[in-house]
Amino acid sequence: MSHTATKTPARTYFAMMLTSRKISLSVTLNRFIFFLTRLPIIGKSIPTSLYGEYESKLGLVIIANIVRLLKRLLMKALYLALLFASSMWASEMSGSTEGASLSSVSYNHVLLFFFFFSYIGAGMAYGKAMNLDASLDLMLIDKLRVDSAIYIPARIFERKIIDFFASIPYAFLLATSPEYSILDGFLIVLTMSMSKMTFEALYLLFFKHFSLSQKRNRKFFNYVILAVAIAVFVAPYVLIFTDKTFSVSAIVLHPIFILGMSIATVLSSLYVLNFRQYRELAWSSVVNYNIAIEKNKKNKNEKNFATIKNAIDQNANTAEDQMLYSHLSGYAYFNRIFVRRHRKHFNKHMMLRAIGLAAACLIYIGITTFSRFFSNNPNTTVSERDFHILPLCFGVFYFLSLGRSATAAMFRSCDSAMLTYPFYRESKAVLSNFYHRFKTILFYNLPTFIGIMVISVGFDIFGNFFERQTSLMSINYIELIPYIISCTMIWIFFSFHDLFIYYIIQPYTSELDVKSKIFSIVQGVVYYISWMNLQMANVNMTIYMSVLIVATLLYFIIGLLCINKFSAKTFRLR
Amino acid sequence: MRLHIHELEHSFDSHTVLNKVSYTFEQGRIYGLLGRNGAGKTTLFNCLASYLEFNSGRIAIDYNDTTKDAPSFFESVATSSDKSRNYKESDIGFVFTQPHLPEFMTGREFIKFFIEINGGKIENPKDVDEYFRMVAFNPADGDRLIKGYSHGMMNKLQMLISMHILKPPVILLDEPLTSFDVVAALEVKNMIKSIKKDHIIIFSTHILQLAQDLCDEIVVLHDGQLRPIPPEKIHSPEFEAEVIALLQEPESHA
Repeated sequence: MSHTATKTPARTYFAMMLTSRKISLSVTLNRFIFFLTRLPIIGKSIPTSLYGEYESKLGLVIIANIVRLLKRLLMKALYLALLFASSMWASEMSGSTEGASLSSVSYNHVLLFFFFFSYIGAGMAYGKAMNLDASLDLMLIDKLRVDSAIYIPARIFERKIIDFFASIPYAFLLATSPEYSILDGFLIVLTMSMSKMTFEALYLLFFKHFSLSQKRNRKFFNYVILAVAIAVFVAPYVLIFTDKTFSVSAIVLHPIFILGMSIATVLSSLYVLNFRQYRELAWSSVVNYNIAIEKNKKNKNEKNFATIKNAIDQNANTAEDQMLYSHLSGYAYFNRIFVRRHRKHFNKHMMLRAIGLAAACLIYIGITTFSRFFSNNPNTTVSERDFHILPLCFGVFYFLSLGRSATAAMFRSCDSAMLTYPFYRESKAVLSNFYHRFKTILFYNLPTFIGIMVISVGFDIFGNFFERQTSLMSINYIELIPYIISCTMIWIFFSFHDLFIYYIIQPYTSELDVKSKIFSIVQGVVYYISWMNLQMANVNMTIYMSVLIVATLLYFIIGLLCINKFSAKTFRLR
Repeated sequence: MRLHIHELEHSFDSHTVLNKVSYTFEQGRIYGLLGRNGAGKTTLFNCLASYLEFNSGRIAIDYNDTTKDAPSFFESVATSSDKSRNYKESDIGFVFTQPHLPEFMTGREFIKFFIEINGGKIENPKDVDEYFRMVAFNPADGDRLIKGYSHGMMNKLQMLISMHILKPPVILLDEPLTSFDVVAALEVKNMIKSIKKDHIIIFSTHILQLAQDLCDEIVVLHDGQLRPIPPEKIHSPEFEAEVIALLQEPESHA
């Protein structure tokens, strides 16, 4: 339907609003049904035919509408709480007693935040024309080819009307103050909605006159909006801190202001209705969105393998490699070639880790040596000190281990193809590869192992020697043994863990996507444990090392048993 | 040698893709598997190649050609369950549309490795260059990383492994000539024809003309069933119309 040829009757816009509501609801319901089908246990009993059972969905429609309404009210309530909290915090920080607590909250301060955030900020940053929703608006425009010249203005008006009604509770809340009546509240909500409408028209004006469909102009505009948004966000705080607040209600309830906003709203509404470039606006949003989707899809896949995207050494001297490994055969040959072709990638990572750790050691020695000569106050002895570095080494090893990078390279460059061959999935082959790879990861984690051993032993056991010039004979060398064992177990744990879960869970799909919630959970748990270790510098070391050694040893033994028993069945392509 | 499929059934959620499919494929013949998108051709191949566990039915290779039909064969062979195969995974060679090769190796390294790993199963193992010549693969390219190979080169390597080195009794080709140029396609067709006498070859395709050109028999997968086209009709003028009519029949199952 051409928007330019004739004036579009109002009922067309209303019809479009209704249609978009119905589609939005349908999309929401289908998503909800999809969510239900993915739930464990009950998911299987949800029939997929439910998508087409419109009568059954009617009950869900009512529930969905109520949920939507409650959600919107909840968001409004949270927003109000934010305004109150911001106001109280700003008052407290400025040293003012007025408004610094819940009982003395200044409604004017709250209105100040409301004015800047809702009148200006929200109007400027959350306009409908500027923020076409990907899941509904762009879907309707791109896939269902609705006429954007009718759809977008319909959505603008719809959004403003809904927002107005959803903001009415503000009016009632304001009326709880003796200074304001319920009418005052309604007028404030009304003028807020008018302000938002005016900003919609302003955006369309900018779009037209500054050619915002062009990427460069759009980018510049976004920066300007960002700068203004920051200024708007900061403004009420500044005004309260500098005690330069003004009476918001005196302005927004003034008849001239209300009249001015009303005229602006009428003019804005006419501009919105008569704007001629909706199609251009819509399609520039669609194109940008589709580009972003493609980029995101590519990045999402690459994110899992970002560190090994170019890991294969494409300048490898293959003739030399063949001579080098001519004495090897079978999976020994296969894995040596794999390591050889990725050696630049792995060596680079290993060097970075080694350099980082060496630098940390040198800095520590430098600081302690420096403080020994220039400090008048002797440090506490190691035995008196509560702080130990070994638990930190566990946390640090998590980040420095090559296990994750190595398993990602294995899948991307090797297993994603090889797992399609029956011989590669045989138990003997799977186990042979596993042990070869375990040795490889142990080797590449060796510098990190040496590093943490030097640091932990140097700091925790030889600390007195470095810091207080005590004699080497005064050191209790028996303490070295549990330290060496602990560091060794940390080394084995991290070298084993990533490979173990890769073989037992095998989370990657043939499209290089991660599709295993268990994998994510396990990785999350290990991350949490590693992070907790970073907080454990003050624990009792005897207990810590005992738990560490026993737990990692058990994990390793049980893990090996699982690998031998199950990996031939679990190590498959998804 | 025969490949018997007996009442093979497989569904995805509530959608039945293979509905008690039964058919017998014979050695020395090239079978064309035709079907619409989503008919279940790849599913059938995945069941045959043991990538997928089917819901029920039996698949078996009669190596010694003891019986002509599946029911007789299965009666004569004791099986432990309703859903079963009597062959090893390595008895099925699968040539994928998109070749699966380890990018970090050279072609020569990969073939060398493959021969070593499967040594006991290879009759008269040859030199790597000799294998390359079988598929018209330039031996000089064998020392380049697979990562840098063209699609056609990768396909040739894949065919070499799946068809020539191990020589599995059954060879499945899933849209084998996609992205081949005219010359390469002709080479591959001739290759397939040259080895057919010792194998059961089944390939899936959308292209009727290719099926006509290459196949001895054509089987249409439609509505979860395999229906053969009489061999005498393959080269007749009514062949195309008959196949399309078959594929346009409304489906009876969900």
